[in-house]
Amino acid sequence: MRWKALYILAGLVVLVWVVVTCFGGFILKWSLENAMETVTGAQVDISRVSLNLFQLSISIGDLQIANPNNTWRNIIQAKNIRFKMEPEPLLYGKTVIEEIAVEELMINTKRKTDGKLNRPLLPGPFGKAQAQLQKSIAAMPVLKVGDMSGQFDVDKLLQNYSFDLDLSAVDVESRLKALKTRWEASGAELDKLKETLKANEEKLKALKSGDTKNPLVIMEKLETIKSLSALLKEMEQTVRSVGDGFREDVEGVRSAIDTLKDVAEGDYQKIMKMANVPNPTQMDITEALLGKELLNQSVVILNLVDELQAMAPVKVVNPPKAKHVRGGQDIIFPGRKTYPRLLIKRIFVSGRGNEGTKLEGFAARATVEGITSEPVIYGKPLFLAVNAAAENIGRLDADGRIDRTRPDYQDYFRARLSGFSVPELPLPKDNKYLPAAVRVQSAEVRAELTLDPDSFLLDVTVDGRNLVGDYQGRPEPEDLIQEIVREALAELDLISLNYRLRGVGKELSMELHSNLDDVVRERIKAVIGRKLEEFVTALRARVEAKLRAKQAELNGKLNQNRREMEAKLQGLQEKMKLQNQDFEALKKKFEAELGKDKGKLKLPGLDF
Amino acid sequence: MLFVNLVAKLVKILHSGKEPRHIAAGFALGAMIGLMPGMTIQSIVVFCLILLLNVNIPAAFFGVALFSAFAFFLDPLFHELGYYLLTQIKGLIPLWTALYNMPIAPLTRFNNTVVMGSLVTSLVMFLPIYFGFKRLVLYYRAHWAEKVERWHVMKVIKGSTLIQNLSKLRFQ
Repeated sequence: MRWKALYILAGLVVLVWVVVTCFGGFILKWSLENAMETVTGAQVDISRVSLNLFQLSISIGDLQIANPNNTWRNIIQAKNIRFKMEPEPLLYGKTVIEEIAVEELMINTKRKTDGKLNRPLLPGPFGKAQAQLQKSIAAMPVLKVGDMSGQFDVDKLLQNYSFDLDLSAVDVESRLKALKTRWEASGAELDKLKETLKANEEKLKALKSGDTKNPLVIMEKLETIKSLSALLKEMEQTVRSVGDGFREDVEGVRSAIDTLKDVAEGDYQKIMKMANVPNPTQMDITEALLGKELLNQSVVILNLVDELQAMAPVKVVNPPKAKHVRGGQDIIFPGRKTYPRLLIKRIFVSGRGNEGTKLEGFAARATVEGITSEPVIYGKPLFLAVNAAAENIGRLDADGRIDRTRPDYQDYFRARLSGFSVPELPLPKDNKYLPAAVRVQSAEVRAELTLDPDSFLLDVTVDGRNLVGDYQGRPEPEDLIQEIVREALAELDLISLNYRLRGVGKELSMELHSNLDDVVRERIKAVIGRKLEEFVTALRARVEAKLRAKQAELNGKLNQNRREMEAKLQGLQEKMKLQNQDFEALKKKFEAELGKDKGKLKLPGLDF
Repeated sequence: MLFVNLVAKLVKILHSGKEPRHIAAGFALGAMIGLMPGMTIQSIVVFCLILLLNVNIPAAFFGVALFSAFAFFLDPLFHELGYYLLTQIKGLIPLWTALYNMPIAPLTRFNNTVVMGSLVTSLVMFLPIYFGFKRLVLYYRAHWAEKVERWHVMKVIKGSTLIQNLSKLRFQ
């Protein structure tokens, strides 16, 4: 045993204890000042740091952090900051901070000395989020209202338009031509039947003349009549089927000609679309004007949502083996005294406005409860609440909950900012429809963000009264819509805006509603309504005239062919009817003749 | 430089004339610290033992340096062993749970797979390392010490300022 080493070790322990007890505050003060100066790049002053090892508490008095941009002012000044730790969890290797309290926090206060430091500033980790946002904005539906001018000229539009109606009419015409060839073939067949009828007439004449007393001759003639009648019936059948086929063809062509009406309607719709005629009822004015900017402003929320959704709860007992990582894997066992590795039970901050500044009369307090590295072990969600109010300026109330104690969490943040005015809000310069700046006499903003593991919804409602838009310095309006929007935004009694940003998985959707839509729509309707009506009427008339002309032309051709064929059919049918009557009359006459001689001659098989 | 330092240390220890059991004990305790990852309570305890017990301190430092290099490559095996001991042996889980809920014990980070794996390995390997190194020292002194003394490189090493500085370090 080396006793000398034991004494050295014991001496070292005592020395450390004495140093920490006597000079701990001073060492901590020096360390804190230096660390914060490295971060801010400006002077940090702390009047005292008290370290109590028995109570495990640290108290920092009169903290002043100088503003690096204006070193004669402080960014933050706090009268007292207290940290209090729980000793017992330290024995379990856990850090539980009972409370962090920041009292009388003030911002932008005057300094008595210059807080300038000659240290280089740390580079900021920003930029990536902005680039991502630009990409998503590129896909935004932005109403291109400027493209509408000069689209009301019907002649100009029709010059460049190829009618589907023309193509369909050509189709009908070629169908008609094909049918005409078929009808001509049928007509030739009918002509042959006509010749046969003529031959039948000759035969009929022969039957009427000659011996009509001899029963044997009569019977022979009756036999001839029978065969001629059968032939006539066959011919009637043929004519009927030709007629039926013809009428069917005619109906088909007629229906095709009628269908041209639908084609013409399609043409009309296409031309209207090509004209890009504004339809005020379908215009999303607010989305076009403000969508891009609002989405731009939502990048902070989107990043917050991404980070919150990435925080998945951990399994407590018997976790699956992780792939080996340097440093190993911590296995957590259940237990009554199992603390999270880091827990801050409560942070309380109170602040007030600096006297003699614009923020005089301002008071705020914020509380955050349950900040922990392992929410599943702690078992309680994180709560935060902020209340701030300033006389004649406005009031802010916000609260929220982040629950990572279970996998199916439901988080929310709510904020309400009321009773404030906006003396001048500069708007982006790249949007030619928006004013350079707006002033709002009284405004209220309500926002709510809810999120679960797979989706989120941001719902923001803004109500502003007596809005005045300032277009000074903006170039002259380039088109009618621009003029109308400017007129509407120059002075507005009430503007109400509802912005909803929803994310499901990786899909983002945005909804934007505002009374601005109605205001601008009404003005657009009033101004361009008459011009639009004239255009629509003229276009409709032109399309219908074209349809009528095509239909008349096709019907004319159809009728011409139809008349010819129908005349043939009709003539043939009449002739066949007369011939049939003649056959019947002659047959009756011969049968009567045979009846007189009944009994004189009976021949089997000749009974009519 | 590190390698030269290690070799110089080893040669110095072997030729120091100290008791082989003291050298072996120091080396075995140093091996324990070397196998364990980072600064844990158990490594501080072993370090205090090295200081307080009558073991050879340079041999302990040599053990720390040698086994730290090995341990880096053995981490995956320690992780496997630690995971098996902490989660797969049902009979041990009540013990781990009780330790986890006791004061001080969690500070050893025994619930970490690599820490547990390396701790068990170093405990199991302590005696084999001790006896193995003791025999090595005895064998060296009996068969090699005189030959090595005559080597030119030994004279160079002994003559270097680094070694001279190292030889000035005395803890007893």
